[in-house]
Amino acid sequence: MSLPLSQEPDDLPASTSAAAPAGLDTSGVLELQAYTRRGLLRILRSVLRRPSALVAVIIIAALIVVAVLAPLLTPHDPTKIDLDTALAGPSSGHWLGTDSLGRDNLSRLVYGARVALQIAIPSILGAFVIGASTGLIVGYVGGAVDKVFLVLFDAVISFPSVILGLALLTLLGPSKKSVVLVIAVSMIPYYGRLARAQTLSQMRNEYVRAERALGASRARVLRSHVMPNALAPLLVIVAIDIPTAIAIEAGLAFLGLGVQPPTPDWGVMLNDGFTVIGTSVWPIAGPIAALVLVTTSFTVLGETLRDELDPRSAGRVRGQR
Amino acid sequence: MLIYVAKRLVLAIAVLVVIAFLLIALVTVVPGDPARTVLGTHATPELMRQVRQTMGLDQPVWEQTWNFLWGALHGDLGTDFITRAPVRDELGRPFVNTLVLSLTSMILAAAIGIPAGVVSAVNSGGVIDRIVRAVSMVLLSTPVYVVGLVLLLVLSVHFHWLPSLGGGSFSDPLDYAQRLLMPAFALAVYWIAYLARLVRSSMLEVLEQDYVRTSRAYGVPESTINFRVALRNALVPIVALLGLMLGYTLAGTVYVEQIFGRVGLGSLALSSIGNRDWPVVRGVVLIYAVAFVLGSLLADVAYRVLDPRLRVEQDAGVFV
Repeated sequence: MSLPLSQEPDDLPASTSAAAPAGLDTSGVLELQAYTRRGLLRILRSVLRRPSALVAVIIIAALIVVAVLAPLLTPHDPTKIDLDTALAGPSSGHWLGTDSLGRDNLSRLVYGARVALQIAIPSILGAFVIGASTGLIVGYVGGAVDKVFLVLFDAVISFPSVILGLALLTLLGPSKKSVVLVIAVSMIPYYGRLARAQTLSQMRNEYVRAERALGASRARVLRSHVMPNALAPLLVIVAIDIPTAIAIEAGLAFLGLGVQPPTPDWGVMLNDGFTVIGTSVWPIAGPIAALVLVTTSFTVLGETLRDELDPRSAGRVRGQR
Repeated sequence: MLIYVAKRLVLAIAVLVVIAFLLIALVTVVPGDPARTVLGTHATPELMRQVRQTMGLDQPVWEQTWNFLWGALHGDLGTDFITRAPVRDELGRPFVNTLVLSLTSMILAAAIGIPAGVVSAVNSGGVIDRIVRAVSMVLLSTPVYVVGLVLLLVLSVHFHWLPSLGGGSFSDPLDYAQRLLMPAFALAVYWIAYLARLVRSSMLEVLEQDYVRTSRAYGVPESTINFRVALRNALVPIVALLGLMLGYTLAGTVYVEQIFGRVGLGSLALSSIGNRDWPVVRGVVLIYAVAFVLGSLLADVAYRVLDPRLRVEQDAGVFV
């Protein structure tokens, strides 16, 4: 199980809990702001100057290209069953062999990238939109509403995504839509708390008070001043959380709770391949490699971005001090 | 400090009540009637009403929540739809198995992760450090089920070193331990990487301090600085982390038990989902949630006990 990489700044005691496990403290989030203005292009250029990050970017780009062009790249129909060639090893016709029903592993793998992104992107975006706007409003309104939502966020965070999946998918039945819902629900509180903390820190600024004193309405202050400043830094984190969503999605499918066969999905492939693990490794070799490569690439990219945006931690990580 | 603990406790209880409420409310919100699940599609309305009554589904949600919580406090988690046995009895044995698995993986994680972090920090910038960092980066990203499948593939299917399926029983401790090894390691991998990175960065942070430089200048041996000063400081956040690790490793057991064919809470939850046996699922989810909430409560409190610096400003409360 991997955890969302997004964390909130340290000013929330109740959250040391949820913040810690991801291993990557994003205490730099607040400092991010100053650096976003440095220009995204410059940051991007310095990120790409590091070999590990460059490789990661190439892998992520490849994932996207493969997902988009899936039908053009695959030699076979990913769901075409051919029992005569079941569980064959790699050959010129099937580069990664075939699965227990004789389907082409490579084609399924390629289409799997598409399914992974089809689920990961909407669920993360949905979670971000709902979580961030809730956090923004709750942080701005404050008071009892704020406290109620903090408890609510904590309650949902107390369900690790797989447990939340167990509960929700029992009741909803497995489908792509329910999987998107499960992932979104499990990520909303993280973004909610982050956006809330960001809003609180923005509102401490003098200019917000000045704006109010000048007679600007609450809605105007929130919309044109607090929101852009509070949320822009979180956008980087959204990108970094995509592999978390992919991992949850494949995990649920592997357990048989998520996307259902015969959909060509990495988790479904793991589930199918698991049952014939003693006979052939080829059905699960592809998805295993794909999951490791994709998740690691996003982590490397995220770490590098964080280092670039927060030079203090960069020095420490590189051991230069 | 006491005030903080009290407030944190109130928050934990509030969270648990909300969780219980959500678990109950979900059934009423989501399409599909549990009574229908038990009786099948052809049940008469009269029978349906009876069953709904015995399940307590005819009561308002808040009353059901109260009954559920009150029952849970007294060790009553409801009755299994299918076997008609109390859910608590069905959860007992799997719970022990799962807990043993989680705790073993935590011990493994500490035993491997902490030394790895120390070696990495002491050789900061060197070859070993680079290797530890690269490996931990990969392991930190890899989902637990991928780790489990790879281990199974290499150690059981390819080399036949370890038995692959089943958890064994307590009556044969050696066999039980042997069967525990691989799943526990699979669960531990993420935390090994996590701890290695955490220990490394906190040690390096201490080693940057002025007083360390002063100690060096006074001729304090390097080993004393590394272990007495740096490592001791690095261990503080780890102790606080143990509570959280318990919650997260417990959740990971869902995957690991499936892969290694073990009887436990996770596999029980999966099979009851197949049967749409809601009381069992609900019981398991409640146990996980309680473990998680208690774990983060312990973590937050331990953090403040161990690091007095945090107490000063944040005694103010849970809700900043």
